[in-house]
Amino acid sequence: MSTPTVALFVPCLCQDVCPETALAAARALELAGFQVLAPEGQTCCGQPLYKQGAFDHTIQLAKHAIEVFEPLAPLPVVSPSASCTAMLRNYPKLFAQKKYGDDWCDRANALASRSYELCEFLDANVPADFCFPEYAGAVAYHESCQTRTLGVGAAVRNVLARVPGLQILDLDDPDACCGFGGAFSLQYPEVSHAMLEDKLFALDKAWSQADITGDKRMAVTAEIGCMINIRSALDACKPGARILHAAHFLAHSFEGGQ
Amino acid sequence: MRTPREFAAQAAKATENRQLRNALSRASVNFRVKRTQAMKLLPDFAGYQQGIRQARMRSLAEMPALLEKLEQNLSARGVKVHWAEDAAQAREIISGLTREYGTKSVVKGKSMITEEIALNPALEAMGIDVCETDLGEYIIQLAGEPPSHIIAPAVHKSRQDVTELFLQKLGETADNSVALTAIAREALRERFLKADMGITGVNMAIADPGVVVLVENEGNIRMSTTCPRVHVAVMSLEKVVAGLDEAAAILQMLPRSATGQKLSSYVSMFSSARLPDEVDGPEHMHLVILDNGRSRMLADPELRETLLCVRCGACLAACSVYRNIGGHSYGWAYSGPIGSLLGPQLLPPEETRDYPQACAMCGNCHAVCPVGIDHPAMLLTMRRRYREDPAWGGAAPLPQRAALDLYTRVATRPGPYRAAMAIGRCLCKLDPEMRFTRRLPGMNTFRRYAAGRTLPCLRTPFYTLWRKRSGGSNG
Repeated sequence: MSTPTVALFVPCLCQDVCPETALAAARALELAGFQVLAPEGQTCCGQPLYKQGAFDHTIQLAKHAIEVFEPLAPLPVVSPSASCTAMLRNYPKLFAQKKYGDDWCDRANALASRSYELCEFLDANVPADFCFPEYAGAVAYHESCQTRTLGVGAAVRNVLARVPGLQILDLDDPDACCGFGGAFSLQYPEVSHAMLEDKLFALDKAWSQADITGDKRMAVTAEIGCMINIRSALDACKPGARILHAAHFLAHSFEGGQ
Repeated sequence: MRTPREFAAQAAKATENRQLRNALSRASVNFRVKRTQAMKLLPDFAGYQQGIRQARMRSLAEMPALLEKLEQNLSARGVKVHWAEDAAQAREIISGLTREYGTKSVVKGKSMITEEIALNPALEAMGIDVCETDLGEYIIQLAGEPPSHIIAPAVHKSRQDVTELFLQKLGETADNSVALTAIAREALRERFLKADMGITGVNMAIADPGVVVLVENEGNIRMSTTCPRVHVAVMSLEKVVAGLDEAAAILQMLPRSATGQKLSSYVSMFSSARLPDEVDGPEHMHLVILDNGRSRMLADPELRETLLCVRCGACLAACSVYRNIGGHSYGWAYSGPIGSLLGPQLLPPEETRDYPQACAMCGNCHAVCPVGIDHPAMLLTMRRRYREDPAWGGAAPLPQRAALDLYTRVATRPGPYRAAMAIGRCLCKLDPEMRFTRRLPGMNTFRRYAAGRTLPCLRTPFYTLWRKRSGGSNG
């Protein structure tokens, strides 16, 4: 029997800002027994345009993404970002709205129906007794809003529970947004900062309640955007503290960020 | 005075107010914990949610007929029904009533619709003494401020604030909430007895059999409708519901969703003024039915669902933006996610450009909404309209449009996209953390963004690392 294979969707933020996270995602999939292909020519799923209401522009990027992944059909398309996955799943709605013809609508549907967030895919597809490599330590968990709205919050926890030794520290007010929101953080920097400040406060509290200090302060999230946003503040205000994508813990690969 | 147009600056300023943010955080968490507990006690949450949504959907689908039936049924029992197209007409009707009855003193039940139409200043300009009787509303009226929350108007005030305010305005104060409330109660009692007109909002109006429903916890609304000889209720079109079943479905969810109560302390139902064989109630009852933009909203299939809202305030408690800036930052009666939806539809759109933008799309409002309003989806629709629709103040500014076009052209072509990133990488090396770039003119907002953060830089791209990696395959 041939090795099951998946196509890795590499979010634009992973391509050029946090490449290690995409590598970790690939590694995690490989550890779980999947062969990983990363089709070249990937750029951006169009989410930044979509969130600005520029739906016609988004359509252009959607067509590009559909074309990049079509040659690999019907392989599952797996992404270490819930918001990119949500974007792929929004494609059919965009094409339906804009009457781009049944053809594009069908192609969008085909991609949407085989796209998965990383933890969602792993949770559904690894054997019941499978474990990722051990990680000894407690990690504060930021549940990303996009993870929650995609409905994969439980999957993230399930998959992290397959890392022996990893202890999850829950945050107060876990569904408070970290203040990223793409262009939002650039348009309303003070409001974004205030939200981020609340999140750092919650992280601090989780760490100090578990008596974790200095370089042992570690946080995890399953959304690349949240990771970069929270990291930018940790690096500036809490030297030594780190936040990494869940993929790093699954792959036991802690490069990237500091 | 704060305005919707100045939202961005007002919001930025509000984030500096640590006390405000603490108060709002506490209140938000409190509301949410209570709401979650109350919802957990429902045996069939999804069923109840379906019930309230269907009740509200029906009122939108049949609104004109329901409103007519409501008028017929109330008129038959002597309630005078007035129709107002906009805020000015509504103010005119109510001022007319005060003249007709020779009103000198008005007590008000808590009502957001009278905030929307700016009724108090209009009545005060006529020399009428207007007194808010909801404790929160009373506090902010003393302070000369507008409400900052749709169900907790003084949520931004600390107990200490109120202690000082009462001393200054009432000459009497206390250091605990119970005693402060007793002082307000004493002061308000006199007002109730003196008032010759009570003005309230409406939580819902049941078309058949013709009943106005008011939901509250303090009893002040009931007193405002029973002590004075005239009761004037003001409602917007969408408050109408078909029948008692629909009203019951809403009552099951509204207090749970708002304050986490199974039922509010008072639910009052008014179907007429005092009838000949009755001992209490007002001598005259009037209902003002206000459009003020609602029929336009109803005709808009993309945004119509805004009208499903029952004003429970759950979305405000769920909103991470609201809790860091407070209601006053919006510069208008309604704030938070529902305010952001109402603003561009009820005010001239060019006044409220910021409202739909000031959202991080976390989806918490949609998740808690008892009637299932999809706020983020509608805010995205509004973002699109502000960019493309001439009726919404025309197009996005040229540089912004050009930037989007360029980005789209580049990002649909992998070669140029990789080249652009390579240029970006060079710029990152030349100007680490954009320390120079951020000083350039026109980078003011970016400068504020970068303060307090360590900016990430563009790195060796994923594909380079992937190709180097043994076994790395590109499909």
